[in-house]
Amino acid sequence: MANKNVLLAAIVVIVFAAYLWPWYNFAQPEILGIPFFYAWVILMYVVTTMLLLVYTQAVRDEKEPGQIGGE
Amino acid sequence: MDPLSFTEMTSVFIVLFLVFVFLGFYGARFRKGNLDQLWDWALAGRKLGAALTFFLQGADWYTAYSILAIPSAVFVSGAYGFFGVAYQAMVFTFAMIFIPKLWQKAKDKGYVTASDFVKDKYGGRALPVFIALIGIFSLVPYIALQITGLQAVLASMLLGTVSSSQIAEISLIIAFLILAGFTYTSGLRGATLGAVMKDVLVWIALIAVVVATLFSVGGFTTGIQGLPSKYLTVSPSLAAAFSTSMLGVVVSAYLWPHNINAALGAQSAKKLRTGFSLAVLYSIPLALGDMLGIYVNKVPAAMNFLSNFPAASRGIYVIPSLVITLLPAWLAGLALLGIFIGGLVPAAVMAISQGNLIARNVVKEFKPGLTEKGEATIAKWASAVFKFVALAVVFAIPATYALQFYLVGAIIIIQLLPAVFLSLYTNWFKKEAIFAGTALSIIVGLYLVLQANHFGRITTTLYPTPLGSLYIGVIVLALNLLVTAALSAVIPGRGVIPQVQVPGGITSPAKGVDATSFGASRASILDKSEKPEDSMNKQNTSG
Repeated sequence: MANKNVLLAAIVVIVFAAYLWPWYNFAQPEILGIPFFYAWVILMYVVTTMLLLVYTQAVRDEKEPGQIGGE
Repeated sequence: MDPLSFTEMTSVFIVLFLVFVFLGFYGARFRKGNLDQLWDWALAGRKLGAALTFFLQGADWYTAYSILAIPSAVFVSGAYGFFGVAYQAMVFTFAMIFIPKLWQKAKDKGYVTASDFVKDKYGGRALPVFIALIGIFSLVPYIALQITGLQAVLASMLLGTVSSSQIAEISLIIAFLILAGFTYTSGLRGATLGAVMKDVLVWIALIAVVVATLFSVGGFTTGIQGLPSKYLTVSPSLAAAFSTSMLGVVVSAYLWPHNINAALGAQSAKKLRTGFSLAVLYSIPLALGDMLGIYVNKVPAAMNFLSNFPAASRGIYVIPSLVITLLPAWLAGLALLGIFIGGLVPAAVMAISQGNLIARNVVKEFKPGLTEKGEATIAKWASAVFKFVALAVVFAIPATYALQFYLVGAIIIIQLLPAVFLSLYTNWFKKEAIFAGTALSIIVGLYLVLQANHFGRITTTLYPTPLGSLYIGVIVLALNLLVTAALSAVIPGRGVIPQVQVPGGITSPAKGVDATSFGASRASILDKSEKPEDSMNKQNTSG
């Protein structure tokens, strides 16, 4: 479905924008005492996981065993 | 370390290792199938659920190398070294685009390797054999690298004992004989059970050593005070290198045959996606562990321990030094064993995928009459042989060189992008174009590596350009894409004509992997509705 592809594309853009260029490369502000550079990397893991789980839930086109003949 | 603590630490290490060995052999009975069939041995019969997929992905990707070498890089290069963990979320996001689709095709058509897909799509012999050989050769240094991690664990554990280097060598050989034994009997199942144990122990180890270190240095903030600024941020001159190095790993990660192998073992594409999503969380303890490359500077006992090793190779001992000096002996034994099997499990999966590639995509290509059982037997023996090839490489070449071989390996493996990932989505490429683009970019890539190192010892995989230093893998990938696209446009004829019937050869249902579940009728039904989008539409209308 087009919608799930758009969703995945949006997630790819968000995650790559968050990480690929080190624009987050500064020491301040600290989060829980961790310099921002490191804290950002770690925080975005949690955000990425949530986004990917949303996508996983959104995709329902799996051909599970037994469904195949029923098409 | 006093003799009593040493005994306690090594006893815990050995007892847990025996548990690991038991799990490895027990794997043959786990979700039992017919291990005489290659796909059953190599893909665990595609019976891995979301949890096991998560554990196996985690164990496969977060190797002993990443537990030891990234803290080492942070210790030496400061924040720049953190690129080795900053890419993790992108790796699994990027893999989400291609791997579930590859899984679906593999399931429908009985692929076990990426080369099977290339063979089925493009036909012929040259391209699939070439792709298989690239995978086999680039994995040798990667396994060797795991072994250098194992050596580091043994060396730090045995530090100060008499003839420690001989004991370490003998232990390593014993460990590899056992590993070869259970990989032979249990295949991916054994590795998966080992992976669960490895992951749990590594998390305990990382959390324990992070907490102990933070207590020792007085927290994140005080622990970093007074240290050089390289530990706080990446030098702006290295931003392009940081970025392209990450990009290179992100694109290449799931082109590695062992990662594809582990992914194809999943029970369903949905379970694979769930496993991928959760695998990102694995990076949290890992990232905190990698930051210990900074904080170790403030732990005098660990710095003292590190001074036992030559300055050039000190970094890889950062985590073991903190484990041994800060944790109670039994916990240190547990942590070191976790890191140790953290190298063994990925090495096993890597060797399994090498065995698959050689049996299925090289030997069978030239000996088409090979039976299912014969194919599996060759794969099993080859995987054992490749482990010892890697072991021999480590004993023959100093560890510092092995590390650079891995980075060169990634430059080679990333060139499979058009042949494997992009070919999942387009029929436009011509096989001759892919062959030329891949071969040319590998040759140019290796030449650039030599040139960047002034034809001497390889110490960098970055190439100076007007845009700053860039990772060579990414530069030559651009060349590869350009050549493949240009030649595909020039070479006359249509690209791949979408197939209606499964062609003969490796994916033929008659000779196929499992006649009952990969039968001809089912394969042809799936072929007609090859795009998941189509089948989804149908499901929606019928539901």
